[in-house]
Amino acid sequence: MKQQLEAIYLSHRQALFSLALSTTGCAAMAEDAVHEAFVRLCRLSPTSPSEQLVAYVFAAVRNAAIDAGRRLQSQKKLAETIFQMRGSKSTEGVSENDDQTEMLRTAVEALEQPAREVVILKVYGALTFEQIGQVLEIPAATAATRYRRALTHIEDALRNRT
Amino acid sequence: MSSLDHNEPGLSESRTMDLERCLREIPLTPATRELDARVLGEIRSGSDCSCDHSAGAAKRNAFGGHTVTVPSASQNQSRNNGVVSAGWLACAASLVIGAVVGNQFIPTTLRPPQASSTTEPGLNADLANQSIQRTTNSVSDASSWTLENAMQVGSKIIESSRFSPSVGAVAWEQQSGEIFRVGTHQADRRFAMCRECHRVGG
Repeated sequence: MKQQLEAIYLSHRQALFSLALSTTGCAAMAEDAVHEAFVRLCRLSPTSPSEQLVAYVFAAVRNAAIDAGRRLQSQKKLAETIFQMRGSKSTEGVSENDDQTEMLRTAVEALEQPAREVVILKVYGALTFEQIGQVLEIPAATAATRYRRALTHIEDALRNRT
Repeated sequence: MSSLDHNEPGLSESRTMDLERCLREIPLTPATRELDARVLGEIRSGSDCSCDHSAGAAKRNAFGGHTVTVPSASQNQSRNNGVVSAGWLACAASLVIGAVVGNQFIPTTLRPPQASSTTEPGLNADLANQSIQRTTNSVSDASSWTLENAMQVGSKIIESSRFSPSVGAVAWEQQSGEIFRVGTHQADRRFAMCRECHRVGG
């Protein structure tokens, strides 16, 4: 069981962190949420098939991030983005002059949180719509529709900018 | 892409894949190595209770790098009980202090003469008689003292909780020999006294 959890973490760590970060708006809190979720998972030791376990882990991280966001919501407004800021060390020379990348980044950040979650889970987590539906507790068709609409919004934003 | 994507018209599949590829190329805010250490350490530890009781990254950041001890539920409960007890104690103490201080603030002229239980040897006969009379009729003494001094103290009678406005009006009539006519005085019910002549009973 723990081996499965470890494998899931190693293969999805960035997506899990990005999902938590998009919810909390704070990198440190997102890390805490991921850690807290795995602490709970290790205690509970869920017995699920591996495909469902991936969705289960994402759902646990999302719930922990929502809880963390609620706890610290009154203290300060947090708005860290899931994307690296331009000019940071790892982005230098990669996409600094890429206007389309910047527009994409802005368009994704402008999405509503439910749509952004679906994009993160689909694009960065590589989950199926069935799994996304399990994570967000919505039907798979709804997840697919949200994803499609989110991409349409992003496309519209790109067209308007250009 | 899932077949569910084809349920509604939208972007073409090629454009969708192109957008997905562009999105994947955007560098994400990376998770730190510390997160890996925490999570993997948690997973790999075999103990039953392996939870990390130290403060997490968010708490350390929020409190300037210092760890913070989070009180447990029982500690919170006992603290709440202590707060409630302290509140009651403060309330009782303030009541006692208020009573003592308030008693001290009553003007000495409003205080009835104290009835002495002992007769001092140096007193002359009149004083001794007065003293005996005060001792035996302390209640009537207080009333007569009230009637004599009510006019001098003016509105203080009203402010004192010891005497009622009606007593003050009677005192004024006895002192002045006049009848206190309510109609000629403008009453101020806020203070149960006459606003014009600043006397009692308006």
